Amino acid sequence: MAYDLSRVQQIGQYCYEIPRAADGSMRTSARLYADEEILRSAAEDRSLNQLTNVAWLPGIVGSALAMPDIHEGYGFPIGGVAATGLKDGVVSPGGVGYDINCGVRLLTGSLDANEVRPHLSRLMDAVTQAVPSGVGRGGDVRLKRARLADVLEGGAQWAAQAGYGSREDAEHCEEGGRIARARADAVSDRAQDRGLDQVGTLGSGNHFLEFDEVVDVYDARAADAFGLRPGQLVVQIHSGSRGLGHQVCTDYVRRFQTSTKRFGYDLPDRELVCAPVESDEGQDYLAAMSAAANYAWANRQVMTEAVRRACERLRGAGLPALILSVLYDVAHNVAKIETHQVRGKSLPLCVHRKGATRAFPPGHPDVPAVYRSVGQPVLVPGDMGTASYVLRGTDVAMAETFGSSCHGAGRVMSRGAARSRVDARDLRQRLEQKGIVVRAGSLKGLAEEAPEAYKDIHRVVEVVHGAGLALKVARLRPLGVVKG
Amino acid sequence: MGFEELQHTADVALRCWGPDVSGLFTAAAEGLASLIGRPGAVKDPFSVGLSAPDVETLLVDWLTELIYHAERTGGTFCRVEVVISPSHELQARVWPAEVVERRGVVKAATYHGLMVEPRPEGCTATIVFDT
Repeated sequence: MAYDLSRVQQIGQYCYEIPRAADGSMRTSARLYADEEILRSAAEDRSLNQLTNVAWLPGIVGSALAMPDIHEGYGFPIGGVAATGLKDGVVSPGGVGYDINCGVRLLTGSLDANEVRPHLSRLMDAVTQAVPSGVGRGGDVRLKRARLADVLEGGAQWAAQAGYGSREDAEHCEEGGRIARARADAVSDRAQDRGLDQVGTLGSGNHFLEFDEVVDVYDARAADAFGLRPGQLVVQIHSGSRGLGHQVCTDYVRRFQTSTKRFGYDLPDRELVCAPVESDEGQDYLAAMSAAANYAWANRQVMTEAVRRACERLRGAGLPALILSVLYDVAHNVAKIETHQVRGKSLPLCVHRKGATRAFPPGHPDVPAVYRSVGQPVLVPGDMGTASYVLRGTDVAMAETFGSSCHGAGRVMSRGAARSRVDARDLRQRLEQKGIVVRAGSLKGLAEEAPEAYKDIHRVVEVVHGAGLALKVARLRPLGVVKG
Repeated sequence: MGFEELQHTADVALRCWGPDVSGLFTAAAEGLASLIGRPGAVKDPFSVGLSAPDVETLLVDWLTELIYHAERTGGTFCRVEVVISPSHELQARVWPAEVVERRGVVKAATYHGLMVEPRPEGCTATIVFDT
């Protein structure tokens, strides 16, 4: 089971390489950004085997990449990044995963955490009531099919136009909260059925809504550009495209099983099914995946507005006026057509990020104008008891990782192991002793997401910072958590 | 016939076995139901008919069908009857049930490392679910 580390070469302080295998099973090398402990941890499960499988993808450009939050997934490892050429490369639904555009957004508050702390318990109750969470819970927004098509093609921009927030909110999302290539007609009836009543819902598993305090600022200029200051209240929302996205991936993994044979691909793992980017199948998948990504952006936008309204309702009960502004919103699971420099040439590539965050540098036209002088905000949520980070994108990421960085801490313990080893009541008590208010749909679900189930977020962030992929701007400390 | 949960860092893997392919599919359905939650009141059964080019695809299709139904109804399953032909066609009856103690959500059944293997004691397969 453990990966043979003698195959791995250290090529930088925080970068390890698995050379292309002589047996033809890899079309390129595989690279992992890690320190020694993270490398050893990655070798304990199938993460590195999955990474070398990614290096098999037809038309892959550069190396198959993994970030320091790498852990075992299916098909791609979580934390994986792969870019493929448009003319000779493929798109793989397994390189995005089932929770399409699972992502995180950060809202900055106009108040300091100290001003909110006396009201925190009631605030968490109000937010829990306002944002449906947990398995299968539908939301207050119930859509007819025609309206759902607007969501799928409009994303966060649809939400702003429909009264859920402002145009500025959408502008502060990756892609402006809308991938233009989305087509509702590429999304199956069954997927659309699953999406009719889930806009504005958190879901379950590792999804959360968290109130945090900015505790450290490492880069005053970037923090100022991002509107962050020490002591400030901020809010994170981590969710995705819900059942609609799961069904889109399911549908296209199934459809690609057939097309993979037609294109003559000898897969190392059937979850890596793929089709040429420019084939009908590839284009349909990109259109459907983009529609699911837009659904996720609309979902997080509607939840943002629900949180704002919950805060507004508490104003009459003593909470000072709290204005929440969208700092940024990033996708963790997505494939997008982006332009990158390859051997001195500017090329359009299909960049798959599965559990990875885009990290574009200062000056990039896709970074919102207000942040362009310092680089794209890179949001890295940690576990619910430790910390999260705000970083900024760099030219190093653009040159080495197709503008990508880590997306979180990364699991080290299976959900089953966490359930058996962690006493949820004890965990809740431990968190409350640290001043963290917890609202959880289920105790078992809480135990599965215990801090000890995750890697040390500080270590993961030190790797991407040390490697220069994304630089530290601020650290956040949790105050209150709603777990789905 | 039965199933056991294997360690998987991010998701859930089930090793399932049965005396034949139909038994394996029954065990996989029971394993999936255990991931969703403990069944309560039983509801009216429904029928499922599927066909696929190979047995692994049929297994994923079968579990996908059950996952979809579970999400749309908010329920689980307490019993299935499955018949599978050598040409990879499935006919099944499924008895859905309310959930009295929910365990979690299953997003999808994956093809990751999936292989239905004939063994002297019957058929076995390990299925990774995205959870």
